[in-house]
Parts: sequence; structure tokens; C-alpha cells
Amino acid sequence: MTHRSPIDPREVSRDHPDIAASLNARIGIVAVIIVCQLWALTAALDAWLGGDVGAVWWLLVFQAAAFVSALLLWIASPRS
Amino acid sequence: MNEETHARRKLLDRIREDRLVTRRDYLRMLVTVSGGLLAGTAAVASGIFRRHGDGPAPAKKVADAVAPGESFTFSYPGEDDPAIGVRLADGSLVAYSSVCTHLACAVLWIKDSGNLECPCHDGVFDVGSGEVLAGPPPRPLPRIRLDERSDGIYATGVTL
Repeated sequence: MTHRSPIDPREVSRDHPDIAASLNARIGIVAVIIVCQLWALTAALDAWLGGDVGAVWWLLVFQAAAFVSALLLWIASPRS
Repeated sequence: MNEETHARRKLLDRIREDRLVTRRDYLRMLVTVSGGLLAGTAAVASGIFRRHGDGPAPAKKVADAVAPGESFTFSYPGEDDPAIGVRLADGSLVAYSSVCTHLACAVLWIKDSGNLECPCHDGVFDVGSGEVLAGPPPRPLPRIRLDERSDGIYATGVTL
């Protein structure tokens, strides 16, 4: 017995190029957000160890905003 | 059907049964990673990484007398907080955490160069301020405040 996914990415690309392009763009944006978050995590650790607690809290706010942005991009992404 | 062909068919069947990963699935994975990075930063802010001098730092006698140009080692405020003190040529006393801010090797007083140096990766710290002069350390050394009293030298606190 073989199993087929209800959504075949190849069919989405072929039949709904607009949806595929939208999802590709969202993936790209979230990837950039994650790179920024990686920087923020290392900066937060450096600030914490250096005793700059204020900077740590600002970076935490940035991380939360970045995560919410990524979450919204996912929630609002088009479904096939 | 020989055994090799049978195994090959089973493998192909297994691959065909695998669910294809959609773009939304990739997006969900990336959002999960984003949440993990947020959680990591929250953990940093909550203080899971211990810093030199965290916790109470009551005054503690760390040496009796030190000649100019000489150094002494001690633990302050806890037994797991190694530190190094130096009496400079002008008679003033300074002390720092002896844990290098790069990769936690022991920092040494090098009398000839007049600096604190980490031998692991050639990190160099200014003995007067604890600032990084050379090498890979990203931060200055935490400073330990000293108080010279009639009965000896006391450590009285830590400044990150």
C-alpha cells in the first residue's frame, strides 16, 4: 500500500505558483529573522556575562518581536 | 524473487510511503527554531549562566602582605571563583577574576610585560583596568575590590 500526502509540494508549484511563491518568500523572511535571532542570542549572552543586564532585556524584547513576526508569517500563510 | 530484490523493493516501498514535506512544514519548523531561540534568550536573562561574583560577597581576608610587582591568588567570593591580585609598582593593589573571558583558562600575572596574560590563546589584559589589550577575549576581567587593612588585605566585592 502506498500513501500520498494530501498536499504534494510539486503539485502546488505547478497548479498554484502564487501560493508556492508566497510560501517561498515567507520561508526566506523567517530564515533571515532566525539569523538575526542567532546574533541576538550571542549578544545577550555576552551582555549578561559582561554585567549589562539592561541590554539583555532589550535583546529579549527583540527576540519576542522576531518570534511573533515569524509566527504571524506562518499563521497567515496560504493553504492549498 | 531473490533476497536482494526483495530488500530493494521493501526499501522503495518505505521511501514511497514517506510523507512529503511541504513548504508550510518547512515554515513551521523554522518558526519552531525561532521559538527555541527566544526560549534560549529568556534562559540567559533569567540567569542560568553563573557569573563571577554572583551571590553574596562578604569581606574576606585574602593575603597578609604583598611586595610591589608581586602577585597572589585567592578564591573570592566563593571557593569556585579563582582570582588574582597584584601590587603594582606604584604601591596600589588590584585584583581580578583569574578566569579568562574567552574560554575560561587561568589568567597569569607576567611581571616582565606588566600585563595579565592568558597562555591558552594569548589573551592580554591591562593590569590597571582589566580591559582587553590583545587576543580573543570578548570582555574585560571582572574586578575584585580590595581593602588594605592593618591586619591584611581584604576582598570586599566584585564589579563586572
